[in-house]
Amino acid sequence: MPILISYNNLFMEKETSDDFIDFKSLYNTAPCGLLIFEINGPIIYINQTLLKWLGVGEKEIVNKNFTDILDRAGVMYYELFVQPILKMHQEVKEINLNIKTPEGAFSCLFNGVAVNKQAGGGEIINATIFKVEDRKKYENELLLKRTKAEEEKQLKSKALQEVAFDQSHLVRAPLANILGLIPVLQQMIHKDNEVNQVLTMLQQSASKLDNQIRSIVNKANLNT
Amino acid sequence: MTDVIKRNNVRVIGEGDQAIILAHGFGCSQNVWRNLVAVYKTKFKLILFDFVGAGQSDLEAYDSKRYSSLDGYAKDVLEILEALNIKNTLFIGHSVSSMIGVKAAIAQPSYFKKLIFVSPSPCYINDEEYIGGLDKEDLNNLLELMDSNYLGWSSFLAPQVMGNLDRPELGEELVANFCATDPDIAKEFARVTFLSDNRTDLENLQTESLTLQCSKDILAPLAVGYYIEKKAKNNTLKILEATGHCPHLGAPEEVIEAINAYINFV
Repeated sequence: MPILISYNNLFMEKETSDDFIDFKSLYNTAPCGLLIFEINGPIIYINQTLLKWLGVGEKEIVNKNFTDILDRAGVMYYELFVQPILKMHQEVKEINLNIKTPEGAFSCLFNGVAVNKQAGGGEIINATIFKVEDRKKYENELLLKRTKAEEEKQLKSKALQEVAFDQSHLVRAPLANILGLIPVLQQMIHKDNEVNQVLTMLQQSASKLDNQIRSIVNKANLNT
Repeated sequence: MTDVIKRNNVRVIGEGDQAIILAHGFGCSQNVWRNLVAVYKTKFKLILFDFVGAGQSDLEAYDSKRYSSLDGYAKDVLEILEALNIKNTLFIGHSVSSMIGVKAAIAQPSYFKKLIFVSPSPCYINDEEYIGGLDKEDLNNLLELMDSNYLGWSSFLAPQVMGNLDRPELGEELVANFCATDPDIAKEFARVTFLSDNRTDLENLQTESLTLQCSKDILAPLAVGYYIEKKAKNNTLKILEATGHCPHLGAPEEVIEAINAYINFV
């Protein structure tokens, strides 16, 4: 039995030896759902894996529409987004849909390509269904964290806004008074007086403080 | 002044005196009209556009307040017609855009000759006797599904796409897979679409209209078509053999035939 064969040989081998590589078995036992359906109509083929997941027999599903295996939100999403995209771009990728089963529903990723039917009529869709139960849990976790992070960010930005407001109004108001009083005092005291030197130092410190507050307010406003 | 043409990515094509403005529905862009465009561009002047947030519209122009109701979107339609100086137009709207057209026609009747609704609904949510087809839970589940499908894109990819002029294929691919350019806007549009109740508008509509109702549509069941026929003056109801919510994509021939019959176009 050859181990390495070319792609072409594979098909030639297939014709001569049925048990060599069994495409039908690959189709039916693939670890993903495979199906073919008319874009405006019924399911034509569906593999055993998907039938098993759906918990139904082939006869019960063929002639039903693809949307019949989706939950209500899935049907809405399919009609609003997926079908228009398939019509316009002939391909959709990694669309999250929920598939109904007797035990409830499972989350899947749907990929589909539109292929033109030979004898007139609409397109047919070749599709794969990947079950994503564990990954879905992880994604839900991520979504939850993202929502939480957004909420926290909003809270923080609100707190920062309050800090900026307090700094610019409550803190700067008395400081502005101090800055205004210093020149008044300087005029009242004789030029050579030592107190005047202290006042100059006081004014420099107050100005520095004023600049600091302005920069804090600016930073806070930038981050909100 | 706002550049309406850029904001809504307005394109005027085709040869003809009579104008037709085509308004896409939620979740899509002006590209959905291509089957109709191919047929009508030889005889009509066609006005195509994207609502803000969809297709190649100007995302900077999105204003949560303006677009918090369908009135904001109706204003856009009127501003487009005003900018192009077009009156007495035929209006074709899909899904939510049917009601956007109703609102625009109530505000400025002279702009519209006839309205054509493709899969319309004045109210998607069931309300006592009224059958809209959906309940609140359906809507929440849809929003959740939209959220999960935008997972790989929204927050970190969207700004890149917008600024990525050297890699336009990145943006194109996302737009191709989602039909919209901004998931947050899409979510707000979904809320505005599915929570709006425009039933009273139908009674105030004076312009004559045609409803193209699919025979099986989860988003607009048959009862909705009958409701519009009853409430809107001079409404003609045409039930299509087509199923689903987008017959202009799924069964364009049937849609075109029904429109031709209504506007006496051979």
